[in-house]
Amino acid sequence: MSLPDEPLLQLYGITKIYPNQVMANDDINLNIRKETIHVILGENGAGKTTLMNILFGLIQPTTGEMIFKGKKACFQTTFESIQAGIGMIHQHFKLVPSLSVLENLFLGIEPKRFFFTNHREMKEILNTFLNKYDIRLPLEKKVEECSTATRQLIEIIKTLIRGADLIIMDEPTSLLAPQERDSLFNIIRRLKKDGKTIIFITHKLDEALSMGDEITIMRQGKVLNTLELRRTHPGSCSTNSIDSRKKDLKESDLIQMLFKGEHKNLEVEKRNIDEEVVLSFQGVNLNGKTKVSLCDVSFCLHKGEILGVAGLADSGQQEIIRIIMGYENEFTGFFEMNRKVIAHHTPHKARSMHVSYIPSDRLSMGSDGNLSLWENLISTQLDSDWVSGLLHLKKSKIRHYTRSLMQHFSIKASSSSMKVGKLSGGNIQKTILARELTTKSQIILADNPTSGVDSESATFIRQQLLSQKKKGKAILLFSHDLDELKLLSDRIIVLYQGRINGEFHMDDDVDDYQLGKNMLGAKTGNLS
Amino acid sequence: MKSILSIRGVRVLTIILLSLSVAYLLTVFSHIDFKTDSFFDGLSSAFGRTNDAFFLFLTSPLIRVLSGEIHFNMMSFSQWLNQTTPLIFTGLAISLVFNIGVLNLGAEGQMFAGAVAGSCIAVFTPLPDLIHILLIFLVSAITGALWSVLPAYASYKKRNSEILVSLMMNYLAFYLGIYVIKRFIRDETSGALMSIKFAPSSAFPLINERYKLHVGFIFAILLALIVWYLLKKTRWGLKIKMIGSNPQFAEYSGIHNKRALINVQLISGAIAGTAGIFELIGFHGRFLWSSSPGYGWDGIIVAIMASKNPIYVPLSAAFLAYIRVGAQNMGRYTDVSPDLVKIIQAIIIIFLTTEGLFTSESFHPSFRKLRGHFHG
Repeated sequence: MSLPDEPLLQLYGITKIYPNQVMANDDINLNIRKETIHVILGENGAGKTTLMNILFGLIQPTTGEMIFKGKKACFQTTFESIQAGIGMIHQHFKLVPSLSVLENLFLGIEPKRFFFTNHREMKEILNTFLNKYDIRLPLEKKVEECSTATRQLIEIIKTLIRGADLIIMDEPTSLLAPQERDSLFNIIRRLKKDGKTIIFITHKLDEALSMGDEITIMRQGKVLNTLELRRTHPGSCSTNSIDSRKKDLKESDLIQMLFKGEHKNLEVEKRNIDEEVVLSFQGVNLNGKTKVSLCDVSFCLHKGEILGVAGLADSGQQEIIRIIMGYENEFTGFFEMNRKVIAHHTPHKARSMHVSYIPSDRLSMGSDGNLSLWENLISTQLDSDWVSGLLHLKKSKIRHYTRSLMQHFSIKASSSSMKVGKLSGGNIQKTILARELTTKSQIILADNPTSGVDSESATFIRQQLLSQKKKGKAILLFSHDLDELKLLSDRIIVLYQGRINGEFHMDDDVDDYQLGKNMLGAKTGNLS
Repeated sequence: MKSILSIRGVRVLTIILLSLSVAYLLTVFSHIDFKTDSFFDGLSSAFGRTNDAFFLFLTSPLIRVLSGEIHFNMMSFSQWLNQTTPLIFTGLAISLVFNIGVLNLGAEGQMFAGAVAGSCIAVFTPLPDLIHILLIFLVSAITGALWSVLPAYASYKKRNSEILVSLMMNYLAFYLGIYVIKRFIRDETSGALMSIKFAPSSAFPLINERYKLHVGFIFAILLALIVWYLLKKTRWGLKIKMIGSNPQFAEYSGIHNKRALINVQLISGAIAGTAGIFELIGFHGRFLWSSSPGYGWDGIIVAIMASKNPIYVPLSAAFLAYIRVGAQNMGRYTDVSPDLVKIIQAIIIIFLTTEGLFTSESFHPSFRKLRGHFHG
């Protein structure tokens, strides 16, 4: 099957300069053909999402022209773009958690009967779509009770109901297990067969190669190149063909240029088995107000090891963190830290027991944008003697300390009194890292420390974690990125619905799909 | 223009000027006599009278013009400083709780309760001079702090619940205070509700005997410096700043939020508790408030004008007292009502608080929350 050559969307010279003079898109020309899967590949911060937001009418380009379905288009609002037939599935879903699935699907376009919404008509409309793609949705369930994969399906159906011909998917696989990812891919292929055009944004090369008809590579706001991959057997693709394609492409200079930074300089040493346990959970249960209740969670964290925790979103990761950090006290079971049984725990006590925590919520928990850099850097050490004398703060010592941290972690800021809110995302994460890793702490909790950071910073962060491990600290690493977990961890435990479902030792070869099975609840894994 | 206006002080000055001009125009308008033959005559006479009134309003706390000669107005000056004192205290109390991000609006009740308790000590205990005064202050401060316990506990249990509790505590303080005065230390010989005279040992040192200018304002300015030092230079202050700016971040950093929350509200209560007693032992020599003087409420205005920075509290308290004394004089000698000052206050507050809604450095976290709602 040859590609239909008719273009659906053409971009000419799209440039976006943000008010803070950051050039997110620089003269982008793009040609998206009808009924293709067009992958946009690039690392975080390459300007992919900005470009898609321009397409969708969320932001306006500084200059440039867009031609959609043969007509010049300039979407001022998302309403116009949806009317024109564009649907976008954001990386972070835009759903109302407290409404039911059905209500979410028809939000804003509810069929009405007199003054009431017409549920029967809704279901009739919906069934045509669901039958066509063989999808099942729990219509009456509230969205907050749905899994990530279901939420994604809801988003897809939402765009279909609104009559989208072009569907933009922004990093759709970042929170999915490998199996869920495959079924998403199948749906995408079926959509394509059905005449839809899909723009698929990713930073993973494998996904790009297995999904794309065409791959556009972006870097630092520019389009480097567009590659055309013609499929020999449409609809199916064996692993062999992916591998061979990958081989071809990996040799091309382009791909090397794009991915040369990745995993470089990372020397992963296997841990020398130091048996000292610094943190252990034994049969911990947590019921009640939390989103997920923990059930019989047992694991232990040794000195000098990185213990990875895999699992779908909301499988109990937050609850484990909250218990360790002392936010959650009403658990039963046995929780021991530094050989002390913990009963009445608070964040204050956790800090005084030298626990560091790199939260995934960087902006409201991990840092305070209204405070200056030095205040953010010493916030966890306010009670130590070097910070303050009997009365006033030792400003010169603090300044010295701040400067050395800025240097060591290469935080780019004009001065130590600059407000953290004015720093870039990567620099904020480095600030948090600098604060959390430069303490006497023996236990480090890292919750998705590299998500959403550019690849250079991600490598830096991984290096820092490894060097902390070398120093004998114990790291509990929560991540949705299986590659990262496999790369860094000594062991991986898998969480499924608040219980531990499998443990993997990294000495053996661990298969993504095996991990994925456990993440989805299958009772297997090399439990040892 | 933008760079000048980004300085807080310039903005506050602009707002003050704006509100003064609005008040001026209102006064002119109210003085236009539509019955005169020529509208312009009426207008010019209105301007003339307004100018006279405003001259008195703006200068009388400092100078007095007697048959063309300018004299220093000691009486109004003393009044000015005496009125500034309680405003500094309540302003400091309010800016303390605003700094940690709680809306404990109980300064009014704390002030009243402290004044009542201090009055009881002032009446009853015959003690050596200095010790008596110290004891009065101690009792006032402790009473104020006690009056802050319940709102503090409320905020400890659930954030933002202190607003209602502290407001209700104000009523409790007033009516209970009046009861205590009536029941125990009322001067039966007097027709009005007032206490018996304080013991002579409680008399506060005076700078000016004739106009009873007492030394309270010196203490108030010293206290402002101390509070400023504590908030801006110590680790305790840094913790408070962090909690006020983002409690979630502070707790995550291992700061004992709740302990600081209680501490600050108790200290604030103690400061507010002593606010009223100065005037009683320094000026009146007995308790004679049958209605509350409202210094607690004024403290909120003072704290907002000072953008909750203790170092600016004396300035903004002095400003508020100045326009009040000026307005009193204006009301006494011209036909412009002293209530004009309320219009000026109101306009200043509206401008200052709405500014907080729309600029990036918003005034209080709850405004930030509000703005978050608006912007989705």
